[in-house]
Amino acid sequence: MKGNKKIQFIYGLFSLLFFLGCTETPVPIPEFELPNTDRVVLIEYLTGVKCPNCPKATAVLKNIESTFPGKTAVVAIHGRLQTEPLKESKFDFRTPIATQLENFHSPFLGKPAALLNRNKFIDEPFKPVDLVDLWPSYIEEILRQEYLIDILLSTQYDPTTRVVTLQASLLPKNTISKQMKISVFITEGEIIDAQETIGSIIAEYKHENILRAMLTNVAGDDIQEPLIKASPLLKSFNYTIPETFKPENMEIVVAIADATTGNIDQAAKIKILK
Amino acid sequence: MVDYKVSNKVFGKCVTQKVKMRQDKMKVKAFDKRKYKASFWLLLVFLLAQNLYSQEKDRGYLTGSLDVNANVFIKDSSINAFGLPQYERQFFGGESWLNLQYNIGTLTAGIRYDMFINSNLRNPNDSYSDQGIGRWYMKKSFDKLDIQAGYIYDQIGSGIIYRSYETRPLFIDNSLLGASVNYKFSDRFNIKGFAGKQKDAFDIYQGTIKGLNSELYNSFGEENPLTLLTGIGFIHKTISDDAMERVVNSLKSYLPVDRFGPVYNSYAYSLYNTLSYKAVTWYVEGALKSRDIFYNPDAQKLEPSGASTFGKYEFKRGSVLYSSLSFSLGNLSMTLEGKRTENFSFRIDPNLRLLRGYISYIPPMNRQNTYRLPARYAPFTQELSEQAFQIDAKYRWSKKFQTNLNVSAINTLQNVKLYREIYFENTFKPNTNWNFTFGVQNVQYNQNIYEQKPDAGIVKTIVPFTDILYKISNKKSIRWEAQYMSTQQDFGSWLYSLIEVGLAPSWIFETSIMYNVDPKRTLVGAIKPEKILYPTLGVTYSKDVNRLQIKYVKQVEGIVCSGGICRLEPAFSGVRFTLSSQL
Repeated sequence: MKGNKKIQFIYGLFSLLFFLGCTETPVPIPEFELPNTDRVVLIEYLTGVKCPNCPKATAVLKNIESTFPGKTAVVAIHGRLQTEPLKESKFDFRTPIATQLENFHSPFLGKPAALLNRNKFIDEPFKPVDLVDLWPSYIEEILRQEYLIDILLSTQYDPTTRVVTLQASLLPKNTISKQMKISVFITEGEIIDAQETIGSIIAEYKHENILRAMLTNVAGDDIQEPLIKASPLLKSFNYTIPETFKPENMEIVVAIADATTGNIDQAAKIKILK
Repeated sequence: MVDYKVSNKVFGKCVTQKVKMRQDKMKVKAFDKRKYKASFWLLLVFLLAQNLYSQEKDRGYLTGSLDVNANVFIKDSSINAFGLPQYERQFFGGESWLNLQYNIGTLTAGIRYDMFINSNLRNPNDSYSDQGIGRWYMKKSFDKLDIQAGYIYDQIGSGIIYRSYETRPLFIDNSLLGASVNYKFSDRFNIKGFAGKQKDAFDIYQGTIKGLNSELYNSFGEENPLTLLTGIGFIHKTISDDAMERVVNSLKSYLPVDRFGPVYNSYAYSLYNTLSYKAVTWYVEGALKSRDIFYNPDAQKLEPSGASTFGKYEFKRGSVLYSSLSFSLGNLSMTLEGKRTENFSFRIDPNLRLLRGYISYIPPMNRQNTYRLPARYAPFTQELSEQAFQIDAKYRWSKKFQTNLNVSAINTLQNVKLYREIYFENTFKPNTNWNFTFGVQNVQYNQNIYEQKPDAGIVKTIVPFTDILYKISNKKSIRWEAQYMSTQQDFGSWLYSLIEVGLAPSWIFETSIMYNVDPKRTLVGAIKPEKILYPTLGVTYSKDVNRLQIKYVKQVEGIVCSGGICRLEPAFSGVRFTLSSQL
């Protein structure tokens, strides 16, 4: 009898626990507020034509661009994983520099993934963030942080030689004593070609921001000149556009990184033809 | 158009402080690590001193084991074994686990040192290096009370609401870093409680898990008693502030139609019973989960642009009903199993993906095949929507001849076909020298859902197989395996053959081939599907408690499963060395 009472007590206790789930007040979801900043976030998007979840990620990127207008610069990296052309593909988006850049950003859990200013976020296993739903909040977080340098870009394109000249004017907000790096990416968009998605192949999918070339190392080139407050530093780059690329659909993205952490401080983008 | 409202300025201020908060959190994590290590050594010294004092005459003993895997990666672009850091620049990778356990009286203490160098276990598509103490624990019994602290492996019932375990081939080790207390009121009734945080490689997740489990044993009758083992389990999960912040930040970008108010705490309950009577055993378990945040990759989400995408957080209740009935009737023995799963994704952090952060373990509902080709397509337990049954029957025609029939069927709750298997196997042992196994397997596997491969649809296979063992003498034996997989999907049809020569007690030599006889898939760099041979050549040496194996392996991309938990692994080319040793 005594044993039975203990059993009844224990099982009664378990029954009470059953009702615990009804009592907690939900966490309120705050409304979105666009940060007031001139900072631009570099989004290095690890993608591929054989990545079935990438069309969703691309849709999220489009929403990010409209949510944070002018505050993001996207580079789509078709490196080594899930990038082999499909049977239906007309183009091969892979380039040695994309592979090199993807290797540089390894390891990552899988595609799609994105590096947001090359930051390593706490609780993320790696720098590339594979959970697409978190991209907007991480970008908002970056936009609310201080940054060191403003970037102004201008381009000149010679249709005869197909050479584009980029002038990047770096404007430090304060004198910077630490080593910084500059990276320059050439991208092309509006390319219609096949893309795998979950359960099917989209034959006429619009690929945007495809990385075509880099005019620096994947980690960036050291900025040798001193970065002094209110003294613009001018950097110039030339690139000859191959015949197969369309200059009207191309952009140049510039990013300045802290050489020690590798984190991007500021980014900027400009169309080759305005 | 974006229809967000700019209204909450207080939240904006909070976000500006995030960097500092994150730095603080990192400091807390580092402090936590030091704290756990210090606790371990203090507890160990205290318990050992206490035990040595009270049991001076009882001498303790040390046991242990060492497991080593080492891979030499040899790039082979003809089978897609390239592009990974191990093939391109690292060339060597491996893992090792050194496990030591000391017992003295009623005290057990153990420690495990784990090392990963350029390992492809954590992520088959990348390289991982780290090392450190992977586990420590102490157990002590005081009369009716058992206590345990450290990294604890345990489960409630069949594991549906809670299972902490280790599966090395899949890099699963979700042990609980915490404490557990088990009190035995009597031989037939006990209650157990535990609390802690879940392990994440050499780190821990910040969410907490608390559990209670009680089991009651009853027996009715004398000669052929009917026995009942009834259990009840309860799990309370609290997600961390970081996890909640990530959920809230994601929900903030959702349109109102997809938003919900998340909570930190969720609860899972389980009631289970095993009834045994004569040759009949019936197990039934029902599990419920309170409203909990989880990510559903198949749920439709409305984007601000008006388009719909797949994948979003959801906040729903979940349930699992599982039952298994086994019985014997003369020469016939049967097991019937059934399971229904709905929204039972139960992880320590709802932001985690793939095989990370599992609290629950839902039993698989298919045969765990061991032969190479029959094991090629295995289903991954679906935690959000699955209904399944399985029948396994064995009939012994005579002492020499036995038949095994296994049938399993798995659908989603919306009746989308996921998996079908009919497995028929016969074993014939005419004398002590010969052993024949032969049979056929028919599988339908929804590759589209299990591997997210478009246009893959249902892979349909028929696999006849045989395994013949001939003992030449007491010390010499030869074994031959042959399997043929006929399929028009995925890679196409395969032939597999293995010859194994055993020279007891130490040596086993093996060679096998897997040949894509009717290829359907064009690999990278090829113009059309090509017939590719995947050979293996290996030798195993065993001496006392040590086992060494070295193999040259070319292996096609495929699914690796353990107990219904699976993942797709890329092709492998190279040399594999394994060492297993008991200390």
